[in-house]
Amino acid sequence: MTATQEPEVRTIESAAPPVRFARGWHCIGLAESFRDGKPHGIEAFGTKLVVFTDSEGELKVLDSYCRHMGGDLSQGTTKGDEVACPFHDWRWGGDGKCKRIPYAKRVPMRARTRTWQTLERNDQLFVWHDPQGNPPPEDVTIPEIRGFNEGTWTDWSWNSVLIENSHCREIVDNVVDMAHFFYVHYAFPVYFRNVFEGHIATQYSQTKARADADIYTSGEAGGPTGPGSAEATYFGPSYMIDYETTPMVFGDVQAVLINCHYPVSPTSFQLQWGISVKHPEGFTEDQANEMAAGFAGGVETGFLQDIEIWRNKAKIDNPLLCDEDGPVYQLRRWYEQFYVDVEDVTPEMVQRFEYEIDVERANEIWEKEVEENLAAGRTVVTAPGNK
Amino acid sequence: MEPVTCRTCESRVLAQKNTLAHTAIQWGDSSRCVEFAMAGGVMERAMNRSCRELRASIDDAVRSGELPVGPPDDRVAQDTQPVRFDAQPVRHG
Repeated sequence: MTATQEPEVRTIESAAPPVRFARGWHCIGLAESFRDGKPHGIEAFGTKLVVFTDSEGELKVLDSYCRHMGGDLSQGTTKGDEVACPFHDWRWGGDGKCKRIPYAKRVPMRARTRTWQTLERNDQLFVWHDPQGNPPPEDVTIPEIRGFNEGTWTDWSWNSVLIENSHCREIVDNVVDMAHFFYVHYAFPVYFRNVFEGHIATQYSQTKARADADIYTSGEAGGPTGPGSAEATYFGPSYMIDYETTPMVFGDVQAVLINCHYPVSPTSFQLQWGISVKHPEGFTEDQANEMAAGFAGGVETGFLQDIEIWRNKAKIDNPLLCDEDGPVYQLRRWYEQFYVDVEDVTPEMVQRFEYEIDVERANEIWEKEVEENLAAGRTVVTAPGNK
Repeated sequence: MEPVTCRTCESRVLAQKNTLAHTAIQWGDSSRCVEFAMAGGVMERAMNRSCRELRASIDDAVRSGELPVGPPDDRVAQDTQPVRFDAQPVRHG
């Protein structure tokens, strides 16, 4: 046989990551964490922002570099309604105007810096980023978390980590990546569906614990009694609310996971996640908190597993897919809307698209793999809660 | 993907069934859909998992043979348009 009958070698295509940052609301952390009376610096969108509270307690966000001589306002102090530069004490108001220069007779006419529109929702602080400088459209917002006003929920367990040498598209790809849950997170998806429409992308899934992995058991609560279901939605390019329901012996446990990020540079992003668990009936606060800590530990392990992959993988613009893979191309087409000018958003980027994977074949193979592991006494991972 | 028309609202979508359990649906305009219209704005529509009427219409199309069930001839050929995001220059407003 001649070599001409062999298929060509597949080449990985990979353009340089985009130099612009996504248009949309970006969560920069728990609102409370900025309310200590000090200015806070956030490296984001290729620059640095300063977050401070005015005398009414309202959070304000400005460019952190002082328009006078470039001092870093986040290293300064809050004085009344203003943030004062550590370099020459120029005082900047939340509206972006320089209000006072203590040593000068008057403030120059053009003493105005960039303000960042903010939103407080779900105890978190958001900033709006748009390279074109437009305000957010009315229907592009961050919704309140459903059910948060019923029952008691644990305080947010919040975490943040800087991911370097990766574009944030990597984490967004996970929306459609069914099979990685099995191999990377040792979970077993038994149902997987995606819906994209407008600026919103959702993953509906049901996942059971792998019997050969001991990751969900934590404390006295034990493990889940059946598949858990998740509804995980990106509202815009970077903020995901994930409603998770896990059946346990004593009833369903409701948890909300926030998975969000903001870009720091074209090749790095700050990944953040938060988790809050609804107190199950009959649980004491301590028991609920212990269970929440177990969940949070599991989520953290999950992100660390992703990070390990991202650290080592190649950026790939032309993934080679099989039938059991999710709609990576359609997801990226949806995601692209945030990287073009608003007038260049095409209908295909925002039109509704639905995709349900047939998991039967994958499930058969995975059941077999799990059984073989159990028979051979192999456990694939140690539970973080069991350390 | 093959066109399918909803039996209730007459929305036309493109559908693909690689297997009976698999479904891909590309909508054009979803604003005619009666189920989604009840949901409200774009956020509520997007958060709707699926339209039962359209689902039933796709099942009908499978039964009648209008919508063939089987893997696309060459999925790779369908999907090879790389999405690179690098076409747009940065413009500052």
